[in-house]
Amino acid sequence: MKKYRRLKQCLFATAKFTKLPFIFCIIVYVTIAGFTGIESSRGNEKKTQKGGPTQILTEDPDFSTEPFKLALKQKIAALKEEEMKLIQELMRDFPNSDEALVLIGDLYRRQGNSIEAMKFWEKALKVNPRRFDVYSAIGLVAFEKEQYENAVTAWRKALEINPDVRGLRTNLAQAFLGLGKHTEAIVELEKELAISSQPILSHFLLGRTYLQLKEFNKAKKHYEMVLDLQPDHIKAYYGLANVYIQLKQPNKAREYLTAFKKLKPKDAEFTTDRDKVEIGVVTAHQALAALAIGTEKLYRDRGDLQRAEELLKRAQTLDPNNTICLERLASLYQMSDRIPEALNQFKKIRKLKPKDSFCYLNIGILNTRLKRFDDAEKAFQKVIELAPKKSSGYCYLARLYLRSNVKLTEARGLVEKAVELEATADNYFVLSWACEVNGDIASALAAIEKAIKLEPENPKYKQIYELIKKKN
Amino acid sequence: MSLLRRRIEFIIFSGVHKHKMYLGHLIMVLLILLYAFSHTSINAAITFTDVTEETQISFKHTDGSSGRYYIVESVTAGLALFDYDNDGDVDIYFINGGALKGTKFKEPPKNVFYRNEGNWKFTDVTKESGLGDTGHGLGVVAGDYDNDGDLDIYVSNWGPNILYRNNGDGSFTDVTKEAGVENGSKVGAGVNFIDMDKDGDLDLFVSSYIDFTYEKHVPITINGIPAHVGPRYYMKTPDTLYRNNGDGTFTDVSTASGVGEHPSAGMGTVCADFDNDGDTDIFVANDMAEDFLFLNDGSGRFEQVGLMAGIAYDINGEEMGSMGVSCGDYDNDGWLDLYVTSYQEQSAHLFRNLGGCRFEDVTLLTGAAIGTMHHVSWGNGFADFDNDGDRDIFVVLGHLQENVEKWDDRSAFLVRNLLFMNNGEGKFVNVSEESGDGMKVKLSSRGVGFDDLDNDGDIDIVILNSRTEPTILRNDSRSEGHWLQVLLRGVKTNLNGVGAHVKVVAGDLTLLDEVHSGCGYQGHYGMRLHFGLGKREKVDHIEVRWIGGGVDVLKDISADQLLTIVEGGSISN
Repeated sequence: MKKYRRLKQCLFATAKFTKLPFIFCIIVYVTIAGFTGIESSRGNEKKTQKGGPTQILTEDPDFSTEPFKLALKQKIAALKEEEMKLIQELMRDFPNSDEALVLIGDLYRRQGNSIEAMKFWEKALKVNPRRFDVYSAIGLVAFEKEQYENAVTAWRKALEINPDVRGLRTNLAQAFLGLGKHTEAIVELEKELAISSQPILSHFLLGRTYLQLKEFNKAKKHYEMVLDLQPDHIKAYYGLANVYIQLKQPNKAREYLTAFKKLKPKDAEFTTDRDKVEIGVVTAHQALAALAIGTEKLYRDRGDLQRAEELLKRAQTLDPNNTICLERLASLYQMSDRIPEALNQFKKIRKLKPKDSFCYLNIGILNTRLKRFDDAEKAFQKVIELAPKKSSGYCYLARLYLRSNVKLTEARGLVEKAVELEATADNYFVLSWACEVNGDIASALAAIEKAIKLEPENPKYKQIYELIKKKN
Repeated sequence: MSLLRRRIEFIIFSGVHKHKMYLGHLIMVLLILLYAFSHTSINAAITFTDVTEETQISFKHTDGSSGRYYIVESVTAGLALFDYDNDGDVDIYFINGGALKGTKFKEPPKNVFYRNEGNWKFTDVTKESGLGDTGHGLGVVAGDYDNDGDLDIYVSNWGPNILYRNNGDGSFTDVTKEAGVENGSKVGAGVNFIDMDKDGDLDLFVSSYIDFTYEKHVPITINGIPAHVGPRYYMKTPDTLYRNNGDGTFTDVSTASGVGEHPSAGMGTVCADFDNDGDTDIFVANDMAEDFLFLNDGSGRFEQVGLMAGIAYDINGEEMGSMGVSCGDYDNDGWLDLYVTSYQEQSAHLFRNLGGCRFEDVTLLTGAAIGTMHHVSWGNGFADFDNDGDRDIFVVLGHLQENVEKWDDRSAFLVRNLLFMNNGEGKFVNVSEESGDGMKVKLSSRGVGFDDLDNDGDIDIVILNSRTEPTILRNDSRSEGHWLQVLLRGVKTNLNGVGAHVKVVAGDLTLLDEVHSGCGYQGHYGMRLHFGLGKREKVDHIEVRWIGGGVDVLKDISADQLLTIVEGGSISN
């Protein structure tokens, strides 16, 4: 009995001792078993759902997270709210301004709302019926909707107001082509060629039109003109290939098709870049930035430079690559003599457009004002490098040397080059200056006389002439 | 007395005068009505009436609509018009989308098949036919691949395709596996039966769209709104060509034939003899990529010549978002031309066949696509709707982005379709507005088929609309033009005469057509060839050039009948 009792006590003690660990083991075991079971069933489900459509009508995890979707919706909503506020501000502060109405119309157009855009443009025309740019925009909307007659009417109106607008006749020609009126289209394209400095599109359209009319020699001529102006114009190669296909000259056609295929960009690769999957968000930012930039001009013209600066800074945040915004900020800072800030804007533009000679010119000018000779010199030299056929780089560098009283002989050589490239009054003025400091008074007088001849109303040149004569 | 007489005379005169006034008014009203009526009938040369309700067709298309905006939702589906039971009228097979991930249905949606009972009545015979596939359907074609006298069907899906053999008793059997034509698990597109090697049986061309699986889905937004993505986010896939072994099985000859060497994003397809050399070539409309023209060397080897033919791109050298394609001789010059539909901001295109495997984009010259620029265009076809001797064009439209108006009000999800009337002088006139209530239907259409559904000598239309019921249009044109319909029966060549050229000469009019199996937007129609003859009351001769066979000529045929021409030269009507 005792033994039994002892055994019982022993067992009880053992049980007590092992109870907790035992329970723990059971819990762990059950957990592991359960987890494994869930995993195996999920694995089966995955197998049936891969590849083609499932037979099981089930919900599956969303590919994009809810918080992300919500953030995007909020972003878009915030942009819309800001647009509306800006529109209300424009309407309030510039109630009779055709410019304000045009800006609002342009915003709606960029948003894909051509109906609202037209309403504001038409209001703008009531305020100012001479807005040829508005008629141009109306024409474009009509053209895009294949309302070619309306497009012709609008563009003709624009040309009546301003016959020298480049590009409008090409647009008009395309509307005529849409109407099947090839003769009228050719007339407009020929007119455009007469006034355009960059007639690539006109030549291309003429090439295409003559191809369709089976006037193959004329088609070839115009396509070849396109390639002279722009040797990598891919569409012109295709056009020429089609000319030779129709002329039953396959070898020639093949030649142009080979060039065409080389230039043809590869198909866009699969990507998950934000701007490729969130289509329109960047455009929305840019549209609002454009509105802000346009609005800034109104406030600046009114003298409200503070509001103008706020708008440009906001535009810069929305569209950091917008160089127009940066240029306007720079100009605003110059107006209030904040030269270092103005210079910073052009440095930002330089990063975005490293081959823009105009940007370097401004950097040079601003560094001159800040009396940073070396930086100014480098900038003007860069202008000459980027735009060797324009006189501005040479002239400004010469001016820098003359102001700083260094490299005077070199200054004269530079401005002589400037005059050779562009015989403007200002270039002759600087030449006169360079000649005078180099002791060549006769040439100085001759140069300033030419400046006076080119700009007789400019009193400065007459004063300089008298000064030189008096001194000598 | 005289006063009484005057009074009587006055009363009589007044009465007569009043009557004269009433008569005058009546004559004026009649003249006005006559003018209005005649004016209307002069303008409305083609008229379509919407008879969908009358047909009692209750099919409702689904695209899956998962809420995930899978690309495969946007491209379903085509339809087939064909006489499955050889009873002399054309039946309708609608292809449907499937139950995609994220959707919920009480029953899985399926393809639906209607038998034509005549008199605009159709019966749902899906169950008895066995054609109610529940896959995510995209394309369909009919053809007698086993030459047993009845039309079989091939359906392309996202997933395995299906070959249905017609048992001849109103039912079909799925013989895909035994035939070996499943084509893997690709995203299907246009499909065609074609006798590529002129051996008398029908081979099978199967186009594929892009490499899509759920795992590869790319969700995008436009202005923050979820939207369907385009094909450029996915890898392209090559097409497949199966050679018929003559014993119910097929062999994949994609590589050997040259067809499989060109991966792209195939959509609508049509097989025809584009260079008139007696064999059948293949045109593939590829989405946002160059279109293909596979030229047959006569033995079933193909060379892709789209670029040299001037048909790979539009006149500017730009890719088209090509959707559907149809072929027909619009200018009656003996060469089959092509009409290719496209995405938004690209018009549909008309390519004129110049012969010698050269094509010219004549879209702008002819006005054959005005109104398509800002919409997405899909199914289309050449047909002489007014029987005046030249082929008109019908195009169906409808965006694939249901919210498009939110970011671009130039376009719309629901759009009216377009009818271009051939003016006989190389140009087309958009007559959609004046061609009956059938042209006022505003939905988002995809596939379309053209056939004489009521056997009254003019071409009717069946349209598959995305996510809703179809539209059935009865041709009620007040045309006095004569017509001829031709059905071919091969003997040594394939039984349906697929690929055969038929030339009809009536006085000064020469018309050409060809029997196609598969065309438009991933669909099938028109195996019964229809020729409008205008005022000509008889046909001088008909010439049939059979693929892989000879040429039969028949003379002095009366107009206004359906003629069945049997290879060898005999006819029945």
